[in-house]
Amino acid sequence: MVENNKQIKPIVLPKKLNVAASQNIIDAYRESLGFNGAVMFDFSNVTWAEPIGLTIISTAINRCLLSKKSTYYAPPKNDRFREYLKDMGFDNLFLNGENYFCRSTSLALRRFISFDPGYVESLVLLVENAMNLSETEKDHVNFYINELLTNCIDHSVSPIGCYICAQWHPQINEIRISVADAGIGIKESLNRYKKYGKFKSDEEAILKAIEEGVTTRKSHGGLGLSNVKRFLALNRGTLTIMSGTSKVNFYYNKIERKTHSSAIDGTVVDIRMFRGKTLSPKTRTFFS
Amino acid sequence: MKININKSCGKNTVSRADGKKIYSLIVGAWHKEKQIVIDFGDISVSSISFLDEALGVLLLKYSPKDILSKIKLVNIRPFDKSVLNNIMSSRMRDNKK
Repeated sequence: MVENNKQIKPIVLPKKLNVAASQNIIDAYRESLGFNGAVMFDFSNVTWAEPIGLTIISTAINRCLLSKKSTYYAPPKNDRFREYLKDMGFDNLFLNGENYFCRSTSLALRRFISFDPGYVESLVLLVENAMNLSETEKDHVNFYINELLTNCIDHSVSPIGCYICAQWHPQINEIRISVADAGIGIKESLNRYKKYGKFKSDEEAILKAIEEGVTTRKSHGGLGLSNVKRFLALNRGTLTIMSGTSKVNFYYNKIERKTHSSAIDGTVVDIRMFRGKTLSPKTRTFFS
Repeated sequence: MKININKSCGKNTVSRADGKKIYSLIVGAWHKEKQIVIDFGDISVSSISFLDEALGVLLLKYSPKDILSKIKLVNIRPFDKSVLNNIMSSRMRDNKK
């Protein structure tokens, strides 16, 4: 394809934008940012997307737009997926700004540049409906999501803020939430503060970041990821963290590590929870 | 002594910097006052950053027993109290390390 006699680079996205295809998604991400000219995000083959795929690709598109790169879009051939993208607010964000009707099983793609309690409330409501949470569990979920987003906004040093969306799959009793930023990543973030030594690998930094009390705040903090991990372990859910070249999946009983051949800027968090498996973490009632 | 969140912070009850104002007021009054009443005025805070910085961080300086005997929360919404209890639990686990 050409634009004013210049080549438009097609960024061909994989058929499925999911955690399993993370390498392919990151390759597309890198390709789009690495090319010094017009790019076209080619969704034509895509038939399925999990929140993680949408948030990563959204950060790539936004960064292309930010760098004043001509950015094009080839819609999916699959009608159902095209409709899904629209319902997830993709068209609204990147194409025409038109109103959309978000499905009751989703929370639309949204860009955060500052904390938005209203969106957090909607997200908790979706999780509550999906998982049939008790009041206590609802409070816990609110707590984790709230802290996760605050951390993302406060510490990522992301030029575009962060993207978030969520999807509930009632057939398999599963809910997925993904947050992606385009910041400095976990390793750089921890290394800047020198508090925990110098991390050579992204994987090492991710494993450190998940420990309770670990923070890049000058004095204290670090309630976010460790709490999410604890909650998900009780739920038998999964926490996936991608930063730099590393992807670490935290299951309730094991940790799975993977190294990608190309790096993602910033950090991506994917949360998978299951209905009917939630257990309330033991929390002491401090102020009665 | 009474600290009114609304008067001290207005609508700024989101960031750690906002919470720090309350923390400073509490620490400043700690040895002078027998009891410090924190009046939330029934506002919805919801921000972990704010609540952690205002009250959670006290656990890094004072014992749970001292905090409970000194601090009294009034007009706090149940949701915020639950978030705060969550924060206090996390901080206490953190301290044990």
